[in-house]
Parts: sequence; C-alpha cells; structure tokens
Amino acid sequence: MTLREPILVAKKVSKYFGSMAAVKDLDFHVLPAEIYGIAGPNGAGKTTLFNVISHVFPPDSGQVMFDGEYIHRLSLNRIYQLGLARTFQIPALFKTLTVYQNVLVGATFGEPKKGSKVSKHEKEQIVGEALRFVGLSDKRSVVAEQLALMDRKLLMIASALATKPKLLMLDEPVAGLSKPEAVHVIDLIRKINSQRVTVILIEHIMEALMSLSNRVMIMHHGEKISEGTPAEVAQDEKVIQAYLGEKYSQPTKP
Amino acid sequence: MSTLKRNRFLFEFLGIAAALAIVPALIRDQYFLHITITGLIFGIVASNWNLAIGYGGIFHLAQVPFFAAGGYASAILAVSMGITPWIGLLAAGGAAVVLSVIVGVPSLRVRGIYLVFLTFSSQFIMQSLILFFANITGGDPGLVLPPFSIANTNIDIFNPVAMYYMTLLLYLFSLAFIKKVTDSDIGLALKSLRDSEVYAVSRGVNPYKYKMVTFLLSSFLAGVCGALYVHYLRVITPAVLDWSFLIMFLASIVTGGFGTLYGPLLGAFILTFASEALRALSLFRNVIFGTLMIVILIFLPKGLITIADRLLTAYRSRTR
Repeated sequence: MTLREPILVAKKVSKYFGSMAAVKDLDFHVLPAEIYGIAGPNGAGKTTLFNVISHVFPPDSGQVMFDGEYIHRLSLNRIYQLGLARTFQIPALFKTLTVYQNVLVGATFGEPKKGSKVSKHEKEQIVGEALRFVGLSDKRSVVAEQLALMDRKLLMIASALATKPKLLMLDEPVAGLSKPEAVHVIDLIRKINSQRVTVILIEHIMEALMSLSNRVMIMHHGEKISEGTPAEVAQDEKVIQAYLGEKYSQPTKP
Repeated sequence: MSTLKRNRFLFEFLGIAAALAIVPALIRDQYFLHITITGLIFGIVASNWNLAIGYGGIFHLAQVPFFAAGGYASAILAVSMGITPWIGLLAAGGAAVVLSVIVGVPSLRVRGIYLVFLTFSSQFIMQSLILFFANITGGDPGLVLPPFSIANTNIDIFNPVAMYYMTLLLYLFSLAFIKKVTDSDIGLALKSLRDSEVYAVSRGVNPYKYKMVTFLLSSFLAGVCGALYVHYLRVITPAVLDWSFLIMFLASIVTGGFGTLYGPLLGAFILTFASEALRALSLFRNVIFGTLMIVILIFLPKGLITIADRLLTAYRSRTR
C-alpha cells in the first residue's frame, strides 16, 4: 500500500493478569500521520494494550518499537520524552494545579532536553499555544479540580500536546460527552492529525471511530479479530459475531 | 502575573521578618523567649518536612532521624575533635543529607505504607547505633556540648536574645529556600506527582529523581536544626530521637496547614505554647491535642492557616 516506515510496531505483545490473557500475541503497526482506531466489546483488552504500549506496566512478552527504538524496556518517563503522549479513559488531571500549570507540566518534562533546557519564555509559548488550540485560554487560572468533564478532557489533550508528541494515544476521548461537545473533540482530533501527528484512538462510539480512522483494528478477548478500513471492518463477519453474538451472525437462508 | 505573586511573597516575607524581629523587644521574659526559640526551630524542621509530605505527598517518617543525625554529627565533632559548632552546623546539614541518601535510595522506590515503614525503621536503627557507639556518642547519658560563641559571647539557652535572632535568620533562610523550591521545576514535578503519579509520569516526569531530590533538600535544614537545638540546650541524648518530636513536627504541619508555606511555623508556635500552658494537665494534654488534631482535620483540612487567609481576604474586600 505504501512504503512509509511504521511509527509504532507491536510484535506478539501479551499481557496476563493471573492466568487470564488481557492481551494475547497481538501484532499491529501504525503508520506515520494516520489515525488508527481500536475498538472492541468491553473487556477486549484495549486499555490494557494502551497501558502496555505507554508503559503503565510492561508486556509479559513481545516487543514494542516506537520511531525505530524498542521501548518496551525503557524507563517509565523516558518513552514519553521520545514523543509519545497519551490520555486516559477517566480524565486524569493535577487537581490542585491551575489549568496553566497542568499544561506546563507537559511542556516542562515532556520534551527530551538535549543540552540546553527549554527556556521559560518558550514554555510559556508552548502552553499558551496548546491552551488556545483546545480552547481553554480563558480558563488558564482556574484550578483543575473545578473543571467539568469536557474541559478536563480538553485539558488532558492540551497537556499531551505540550509535550510535542509524534504519536498521540487517545483513550475514549468522546465517551460521556454531549453531541456538540463530541463534535468539537472530533474536530480537534482531525486538526491535531492534520499537523502530521499520528493518532491511535480507542473509542466505543462507533460513529466517531469510523468517521475519524484511516484504519481500524477490532479486538476481542485480547486478540485482533479484524483489521482494515472502516468499511471493510464493518462488514467483517467476525466483528458482527463479537458484538452481537453468534446467533445473529448466521446467514439467513433464502 | 508572576511578578505580582513574587511581590506578594516579598511583602509577606518582610512582614513576617519584621513581626518576629520585634518580639524580643516587646517581651523580655527569658522563659517566653525560650519557648519561642523552640517553636521557631520546630517550625523550620516541620516546614522542611512539609516540603516532602505536604507538597510532594512523599509520606516519610525520617525527618526526626535527619534532625538527630545533624545533632549528633555536630556534637561528636565538637566533643571528640574540638571543632566549633559553627562548622558543626554545616556538617550537621551534610550528615542529614548523607542519611537521606542512605534511607532514600531503597525506600523512595516504594509508596504508601511501605514507604512509611521503611523510613520509620531508620529511627530504630539510629537508636541502636547511638547506643552501640556509646564511646563517641555518650550512650544513654549523652554528651555535654559547647555553645555557639562570637567574640567570647555565648549564644545558648542562657543568652536567649542572641539565640532568638540566630534562629530567626535560619527560619527566614528556610522560608526563602522552600519558596524557591516550590516555585521551581522541582516544585512543579512534586505537586504533579502528588496529584497523580501515573499521569505525571505520562507527561515525562521522572518520579524517582524528583522524590530523591526533595528528600535531600528537605533533610538538609532538619540536620542544621538538630545541631542548632542541641548546642542551644548544651546537651545531646538519645532523646532527640523521641516519639514526641515526631508527633510535634507532624502535628505542627497538620495544625498549621498541610502543603502550605507558613502553616508549619504557625502550627509549631501554637503547639509549643499550648504544650507549655497545659503542662499542669500532664497526660490529659495529649488527649486535648489528639482531639484538636481530629477537629482540625475534619473542619480545616488545610490547617489553621486557612483562617488567617480568610481573615486577610475579608479585610481586603472591606478596604477595597
């Protein structure tokens, strides 16, 4: 299809909780500047996969390569400095810090420091830009704890952008939002992607996922059961089975 | 905005310095000064502990060992080698930092109750070491120590005015130091780790590094205070590792204001004075303190300093 080198490659990645495989022998790759969607029924292992890639816990076996470097054995915070950033399903925030300071954490610690430190002025610019981008400029002095769900999600995206990521991993960015809010976030994701930032997206809301993604992977019981363009995946028999159960997938006899 | 904040701090700093500087001129009572000096010293130790447990959420119990390590370092240097306590002060800070590395390297990798236990054990290990090396530490009876002195004038419990100003200078240094740290990148990393470690790490914060740095920073002045305290009292015994210090420092932070700049000093003053005033009640004193602590935790989780904050805000809105 294309000769581009993938930005992220996962090879035979497995993660067990006790004897249960949350993610099992999973292979996939993500190409630069694409939006790669991950979906699947509850408990399919999507968030676990995110956690394994982003190092909340290491994989039990398998390898993860990001931007030409094996990251599955790197120290915790290091991989984020390589240009990978993520958001969390339940909005994470530094609740006692202001909106501005929340994003400042990303701007201060998210980029690798080659020799000289990022200057204070530069950081202020990065933070200002990220807040403007998501539309939180007028709330910069608000303590994060006081934010509503939508703003929390936006703040989390802003602090991720302040780390200047090459790859942004979004865990259910649209879940729980009202229709107009969801439209705003979907728009935002398109804008981020148009700046050549690669996006991996977990989303339950199929409409959002299918309209955004270039390619989609469907997971079930920790395994990949389907992968392809949204249109291909939507017609895949295995996907319909996974979502609706086998009863509904049997072809109707004429 | 940041210059306004800096000016505000300068204003508060000078206000506190001025208010505390006139205390000996207003009240000439030696006993009163003694209590105030003790309060100031405890305030410094508590403020620096607060840097780790209040700002950083690193709930460790090694602050009293840091305090004691400083005291013993200076005491041993003075008694065994005749080294002046002025140099002893710096050596005390150094000793506390060394101890913080020894305790911090293994224990800062863990969190919560494990951190509490690991750091708490340092207290018992130190106690045993002091008794084991009784030939240099003086064992149970302890050591009698020389005072600080300038131009043949002693600065100790018999000259509380000089001691008071010396302690005040150290407090002001400590205040500026803590302000500087909490406003720096270290402070930002600390607060982010306290609020959510997983999230902070996902934004590139190295948790171990910043916890270690804070541990080191908050131990230094505790050690210096240990030396200041024992040379002031002219004696050191294993009682510097007593439970009562741990309770006093922790209670100062809780009473005054967890994770606030001025709270620990306020708490230390209130508790040292209250504990003198209630001395006649002996054991009931602890019952009263315990109850007070619970009431404060429930109704003023950020400590009594929040009352001062509210009064100040009310005053400002009235004058406007």
